[in-house]
Amino acid sequence: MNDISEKIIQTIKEAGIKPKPRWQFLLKHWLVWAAAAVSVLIGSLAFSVILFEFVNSDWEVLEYLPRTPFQHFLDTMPYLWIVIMALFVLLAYYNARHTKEGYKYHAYWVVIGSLALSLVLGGTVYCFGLASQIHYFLNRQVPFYGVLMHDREQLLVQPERGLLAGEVIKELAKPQLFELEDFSGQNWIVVEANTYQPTIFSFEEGQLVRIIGDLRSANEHIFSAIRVMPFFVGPGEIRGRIHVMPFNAARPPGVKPFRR
Amino acid sequence: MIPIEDFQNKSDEELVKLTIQNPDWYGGLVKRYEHKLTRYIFRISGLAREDIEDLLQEIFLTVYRNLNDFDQSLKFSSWIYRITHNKVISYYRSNQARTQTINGEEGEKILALIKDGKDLHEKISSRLTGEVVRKLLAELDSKYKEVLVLKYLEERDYQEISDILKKPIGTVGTLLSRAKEKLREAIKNGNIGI
Repeated sequence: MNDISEKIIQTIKEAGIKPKPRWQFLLKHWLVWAAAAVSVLIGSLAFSVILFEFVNSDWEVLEYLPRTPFQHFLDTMPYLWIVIMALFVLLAYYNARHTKEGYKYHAYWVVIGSLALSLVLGGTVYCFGLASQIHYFLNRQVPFYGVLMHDREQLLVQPERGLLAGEVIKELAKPQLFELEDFSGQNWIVVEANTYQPTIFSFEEGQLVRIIGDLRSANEHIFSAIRVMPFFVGPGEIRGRIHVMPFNAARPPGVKPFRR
Repeated sequence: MIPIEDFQNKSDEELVKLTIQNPDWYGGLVKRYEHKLTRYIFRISGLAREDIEDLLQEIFLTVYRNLNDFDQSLKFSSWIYRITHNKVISYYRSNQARTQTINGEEGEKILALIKDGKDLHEKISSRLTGEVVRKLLAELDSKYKEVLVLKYLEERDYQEISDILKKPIGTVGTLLSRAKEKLREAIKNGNIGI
């Protein structure tokens, strides 16, 4: 083995072997970091939508529904987003471990770090009202997205149980409140109940609302409202006013089409 | 070829920079590490001399191709040991073979170095020969064997072992501690005639 260095040098020269250029390693290094960053970002967006879904899980109407709080919790869990978030947190962990410095840290610190980053960024995204926009956008653009999410429209259109939801299509003079088209396409006259609880929420045409009340007339489609609430709540949904995106002036983009 | 005296007063890192400009300088790095790596490969694999030589050539060519990836925050020795370690693992994976054991003489060296457990110290008899330790090491999982070799035979510190095996320093400490514990348990079990 005394001549191994000569052999190596000879092989290098004869085969014309050259060190790989530095930019290739730098590119690979930055791609791994970029993949980790993108994974954290997607995990954050997923967390923001999870927050949005939790805030809009209709606990106010639970007493009108034949289900236990636990059943309601299971039914309204945003499973799709929880799976997406878990996948991307793990992907962020995988990428972070494959950076040059990744091996220096214990696996659980890398997981905790990527999870914490996703929670903080996701919380920030939620506070800026972007979560609802993501939800609308996917609901409108991605087939089957609505099928995979819990069906609020169906849950909240049960007039015989005292629940109604849909779009305000015309404001009416008191004691009537407004005319509403529910998510099944049925029009209703919504009137104030004796126990009506006024809110600071203003009912404007085009807004989506949830109503707790009583079915006054099934034939004439009159519903008396005790409480009217915005359909979506949270940042970006100021007092229930739906922020209509520029490419759809009438209805919030992504809201499921009415089932006629 | 560049005269050997020119290599001697240069650091590994300087030789890396010079080699990138002119491959003749690489001879200095190869000479500096060929015996160390041959011994290391033998210690963790027990491969035959011819196989080690082939593997060594492959390792030096890989190192040469990847010189621009050498991270200056590491010691060059840690980096080249890491590549060697990975190549040995790949060799065993592709050949579907199990790593062999450390020879008897080196087993004695490891044993002498880990006789720091107080209760163990009293129990270890002078009858415990290198051959016995060789058998004990043969039973050890390769992850424990590698860390013992790096610590006690290659005399690397925790930071270097961490950089070579790409494991956190805390994990290196845990592995070493478990490796020693496993050896002690095997000795206490009495299967080796103490």
